Amino acid sequence: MREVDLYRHTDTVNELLARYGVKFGIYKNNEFKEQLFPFDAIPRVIGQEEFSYLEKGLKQRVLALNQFICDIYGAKQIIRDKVVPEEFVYLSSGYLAQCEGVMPSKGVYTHIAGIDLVQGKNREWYILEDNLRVPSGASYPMIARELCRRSSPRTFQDNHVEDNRNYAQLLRAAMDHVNTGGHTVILTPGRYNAAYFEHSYLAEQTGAHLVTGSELTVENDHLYFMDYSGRKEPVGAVYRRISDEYLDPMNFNRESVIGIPHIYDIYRKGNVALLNAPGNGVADDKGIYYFVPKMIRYYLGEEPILQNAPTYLPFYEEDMAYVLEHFDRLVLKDVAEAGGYGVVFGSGMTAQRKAEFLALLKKEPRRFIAQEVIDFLDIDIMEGQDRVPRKADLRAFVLLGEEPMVWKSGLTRFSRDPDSFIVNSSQGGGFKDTWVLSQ
Amino acid sequence: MKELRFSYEMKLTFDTPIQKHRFTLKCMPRTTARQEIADLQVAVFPEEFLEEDEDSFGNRCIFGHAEGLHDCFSVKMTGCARTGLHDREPAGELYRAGMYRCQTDYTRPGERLCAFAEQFSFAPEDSNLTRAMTFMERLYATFSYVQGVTDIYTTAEEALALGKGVCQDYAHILLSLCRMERIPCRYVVGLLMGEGASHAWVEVYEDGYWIALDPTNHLVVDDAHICISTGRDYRDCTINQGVFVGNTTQTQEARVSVWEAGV
Repeated sequence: MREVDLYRHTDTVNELLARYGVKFGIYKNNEFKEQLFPFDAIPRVIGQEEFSYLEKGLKQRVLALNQFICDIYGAKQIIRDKVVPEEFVYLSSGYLAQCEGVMPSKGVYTHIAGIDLVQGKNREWYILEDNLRVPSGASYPMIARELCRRSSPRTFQDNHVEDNRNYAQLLRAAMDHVNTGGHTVILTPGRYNAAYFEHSYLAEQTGAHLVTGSELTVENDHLYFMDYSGRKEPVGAVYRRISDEYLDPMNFNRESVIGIPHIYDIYRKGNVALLNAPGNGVADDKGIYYFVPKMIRYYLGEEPILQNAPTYLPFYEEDMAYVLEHFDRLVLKDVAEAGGYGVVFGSGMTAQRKAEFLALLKKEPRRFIAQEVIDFLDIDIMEGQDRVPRKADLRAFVLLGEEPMVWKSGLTRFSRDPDSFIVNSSQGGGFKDTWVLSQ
Repeated sequence: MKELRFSYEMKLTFDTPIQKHRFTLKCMPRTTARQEIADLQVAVFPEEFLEEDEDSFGNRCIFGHAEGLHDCFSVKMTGCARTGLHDREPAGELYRAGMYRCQTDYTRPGERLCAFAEQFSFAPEDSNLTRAMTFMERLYATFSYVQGVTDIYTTAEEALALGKGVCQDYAHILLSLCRMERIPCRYVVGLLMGEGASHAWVEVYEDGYWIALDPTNHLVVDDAHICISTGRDYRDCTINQGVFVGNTTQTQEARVSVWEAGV
């Protein structure tokens, strides 16, 4: 890679991001606050060959996950064959009995997957998490790239980087593939949502309507969008950025005021497509994660291309024994938590905390997974004038249309704190662009 | 075997009118191995938009909405049922019934239920049905039928702590106990001869079949019960569920009668 003029423009890009309202909201102590998502101009660079290996592995993984979800809500062969124990399925918070027997439009449950990976010091990539429910983040590298091009056009003449502005086309293709006839809309809970910027940006980029629940209505078994003049237009695909729980008060959380009553019932009939499909969270549970390599072998008859971080399930006695023996070097994750919460490092615990934790672990072994702490390959960020190494991960976006499609970019998040492994934006991390080289 | 006639009437009255009313009704019994339903008539008021389908548990549903202002919502249903055609319903292989062995928010045991479960000890060869009937017997002996002390939100744990409740509570407690033994079991809503309101009971998985037990009356269901819907708990079988716009107080009246044809 040639010398990059872009690094001098970090401040400019951050100012532009602020001007364009590239923010995310968080709730702390019942207060809504919008934060900027700090951008670091040094990109993560992935070579062409390396990315094509990741691409193969990601496609394989998402195909297996999608097949798993179809199986769980359908024939349940993987349970029958005892590859995945049923309690991991039915007790996962993402499992919805309401989805039993449902086959979504074109058999797609995971239209947009955000797969989190890290690279170890040994240069191996490991999958950390499969985010299938409502994964967010694609808009940040999209707009950052746009602004970087503007502030430093030379950088992109000197370096052969795959254009990442096609995310909108990929998303559009995934939406059109399952559309049952009618408009495509992006359903947002509104501006107090953490990812509201992204909702409006993706709507603009894909040409979909940005709507809230009150603008959609179910009539005669079909979904309609009501425009300002009161006219009703049929809707065939909803990229919903609200969780399953709030989607439909008639079927899920009865208190939900942001959902659309009966939308789920017409979805079951095949009269509208919902992206992502409800109930797909059964496959992104941290407990189910352990079984993904087994799923790949089971459904595809292939060896997994990408590896999981070495993971133990205390649910199994031998894994429990291992966890107890090597507790101090493992990271433990509560399967019910997300966003970097519920993650504890065995090494960082006081004796008392450890005793309490072990008691809980023995009482509720299914609730936790344990993983080896991966020795991350640090990547540099600019801190003032200095380049300093920080922990970072990569969220790759895989869209499932007719075929799986991997976006040739991704969201690289880093921890600003030199001692932290947790990169989540809700915990104060920043982000980088991800360059995939085209030659 | 019996030939039963049944009627179900439900009326909601709102003291100030409501609008944009969406509702799902799961009130219609369906033909199964055990019962044959005929002459089903259902009238819903207001009847602006009504659609029909099954839910994921196979229950018949009416989905409807009423946009305009109304201060009353009613359902009337009549029909005939031939009951007791079989003593059990086919349930398929065990691996397909897995979701029915997992506790739900209504049935998740706390201290009381765990303590209650501890008094039982079973031999490995005891069947699901034997275990469930042992639970039922003990529950019937210690729990009292009292109306008005519990409501639709009461969990099995809470009801057991009170020591009294209605059919919904008996059913949830029995489900919780069975699920602690990893026995798949379902919640059933239906109608019962001689009962003026809808009733709830339980089905237990035994060798590929569902066998119905009525813990409120301490009996194995024969031909006096008409099944309307099944699910994991009360929530999956709510007869009428709705959302609407309006600041109102609602009163519900429901009347059920089941009688033998020609009697």
